[in-house]
Amino acid sequence: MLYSAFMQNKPNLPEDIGGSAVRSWRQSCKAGAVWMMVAFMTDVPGAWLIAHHKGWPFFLHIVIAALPLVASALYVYGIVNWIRGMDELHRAITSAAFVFSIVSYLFLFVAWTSLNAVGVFEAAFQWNRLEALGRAPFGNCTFIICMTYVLFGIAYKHIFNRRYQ
Amino acid sequence: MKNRMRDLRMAKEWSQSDLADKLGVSRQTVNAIETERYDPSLPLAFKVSRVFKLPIEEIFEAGKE
Repeated sequence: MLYSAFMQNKPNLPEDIGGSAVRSWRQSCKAGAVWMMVAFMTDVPGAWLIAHHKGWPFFLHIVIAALPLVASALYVYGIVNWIRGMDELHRAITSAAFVFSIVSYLFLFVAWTSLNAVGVFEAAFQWNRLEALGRAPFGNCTFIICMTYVLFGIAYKHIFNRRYQ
Repeated sequence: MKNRMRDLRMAKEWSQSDLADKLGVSRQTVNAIETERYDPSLPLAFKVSRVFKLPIEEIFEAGKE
């Protein structure tokens, strides 16, 4: 009896279910962009400060190292909010492009590291001093954000969005 | 999935933008549904049926399985 009463009270129309994220596209985008800039501005100077001030207290080193990570996490949160505010087609396209950019980045990371480990870059580029390409900073916040941004743009514009034009 | 959205929209003399506003989606989404390149979610299909005041099965038709 209780069960059937519960079943009859179950919402069956979309607006009854509710809970959909209605957020300002511009607001979320701005929030993501601001945190991306904070990540950029704290990443490289932070690494320089840590390398050149080894005498500073340990906890200060941790704070400096954590700042770009926190900013990056907030950047991702802004992006997720931005995606949740889209209509369903654009959400599908953007999510697919986002996943594509992350997976491509991981693939590049693994491929690049493996090729560098066997000395491919040294063999191929030693004559023009480009062998440093093999030591691309895949763990660096700025590098991650820039690379995933570029990969996202390529995937969004030239693969996923094109299908629905 | 086949649908009659374009015919129904034309009968009401709405533009794709008008329908998009009523459904709360972008014009590209309406276009993608009409040209059968995108299958709408169930909540959006409910909205479409409510906008046209028709049952879902009179608007959307399952393709071959």
